[in-house]
Amino acid sequence: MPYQFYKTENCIVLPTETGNIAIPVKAANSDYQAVLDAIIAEGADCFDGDIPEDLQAAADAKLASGAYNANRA
Amino acid sequence: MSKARGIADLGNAYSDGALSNRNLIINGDMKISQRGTSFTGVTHGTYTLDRWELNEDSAAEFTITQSSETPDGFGSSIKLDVTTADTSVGSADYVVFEQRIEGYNAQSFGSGTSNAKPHTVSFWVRSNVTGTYICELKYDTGGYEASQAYTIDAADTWEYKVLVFPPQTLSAPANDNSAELRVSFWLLAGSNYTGGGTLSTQWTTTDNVRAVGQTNLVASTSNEIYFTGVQLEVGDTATPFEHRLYGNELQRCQRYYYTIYQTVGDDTGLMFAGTKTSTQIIGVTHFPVAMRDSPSVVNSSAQFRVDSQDSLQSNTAGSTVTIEAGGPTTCILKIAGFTGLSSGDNFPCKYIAGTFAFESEL
Repeated sequence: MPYQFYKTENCIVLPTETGNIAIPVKAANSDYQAVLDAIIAEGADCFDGDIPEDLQAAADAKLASGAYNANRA
Repeated sequence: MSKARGIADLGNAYSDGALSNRNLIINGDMKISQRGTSFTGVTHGTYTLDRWELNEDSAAEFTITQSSETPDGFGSSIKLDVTTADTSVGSADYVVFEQRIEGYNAQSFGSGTSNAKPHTVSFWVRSNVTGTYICELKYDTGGYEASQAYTIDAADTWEYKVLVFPPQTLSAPANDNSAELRVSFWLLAGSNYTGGGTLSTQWTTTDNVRAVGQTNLVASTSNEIYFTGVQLEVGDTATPFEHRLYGNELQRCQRYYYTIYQTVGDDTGLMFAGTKTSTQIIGVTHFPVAMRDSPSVVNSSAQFRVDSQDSLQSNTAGSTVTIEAGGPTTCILKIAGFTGLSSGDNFPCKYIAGTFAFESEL
C-alpha cells in the first residue's frame, strides 16, 4: 500500500513520519499523477476514507486514456 | 582537442542552432544538490542531486553521493554505490539513472518532422566494473526509444564518451511543460529489455532491444559508478561541456525543486502572514523563478516562527502545511501547529528548522 492520504478543499495531503507533503490538484504535477496511479493500482485501500469523486473520476479518465503505465522503464 | 578541431566543432554547433545554451541537460556537472549531498537506501523514483532520478524494478539499493572525485575541469560528480545487490535478475528487472527534459526544451531537435536533427550525448564515466553499458533516449510522446552502447574499458578510470543518436522523424514532442524526452543510463536490464537479439540504435517502441548487452552493475555491493559532464545537444557533434555559472545552474534547477537555504541557528523569512485560526496562519510565498507548474510542498520536521507584538512563538515541528491556492510563481500556504493566535494579527513568518521545499519535478 503506497499511500495513506486525504484531501482538503485545495490539495491532497500525504502525511509522512516527520511532516507532510501537500500536493496541488493540478494535472501537470507529477505527485498528483502518482496519487492517481495509486488509486488505479490500490483502489480504496490507498485512501483514508472514501475516495473523493473528483479524484476517482480523474483516475478513471487516466486509466481509460491509456496514460497509466505501472512502473515501466 | 586541437584548436582547429575545436573551431570546426563550434562551427558545427552554430550550424545546428546553438553556441550558447547548447546543453539541454540541467546540472550535468552535478554541482547543484539542494536536497543534500548523501542519500542512503535509494530505490525507485528517488531524486538525489538536482534533476537526476533513479528508477528501477529491482532489489538493488544505492547510496548516492555528490562526490569530489572528478576528471580535470569539474568540481563534482555523482557516485552511485551499490549497497544491496540484485544477483537474481528477473525478466522485468531494470535500473536506470536518468533525467527527464521538459517539452519546451526538447523542440530544437525538430523531432517528428522530415528536418529532424541528430542528438549527441557526451559524458564522463568511471566505474570499477568494465564492460558494455547502454545509454538511451526516449520520447514520451509516441514512446520512441533509441539506444547506444558504450564500453567502460578500464576500471576506476575516468573515460569520456560521445554517443550520436539519429534524427527522430516519427513523433513530435508536445511543446509544453510535460516530460517529453529523457536521457537514461542503464545499470541493469532483464531479458524484457535485452532478449531481442540486437540493440536498437534506431527509434523503436520495441522493449526487448533497448538494452541488449548491458552489464549488470548491481551484481555486487562492491560496485560503483560515477558520472559527470553530461551533455545533450542538437546535431552530430559533441562540443566541449558547457560550464554554466553556479547561480545560473541553480536557477535552472529551482524551476523543478526549490528549498529555502537555511543555516542551523539562522532565521529565514518565508512570508508575511496573518492569523487564519487560533492555531493556523496563512500567507503568500513567492518563488525565485517560475516553477514548471504548481509545486507540491514538502515538509519534513519543518518549524516556523511568527513574530509580532501579540504573537511570538514557534509552531510544533512537522505540523501540517497545506496549499490554499497556488501557481508556478506564488503559493498561498496554511501552516498549523501554533497556539492562541489573536484574530486579525499579522506578522512575518520565519522558517527556522527542518526541511521545507517546493517540488515540481517531471
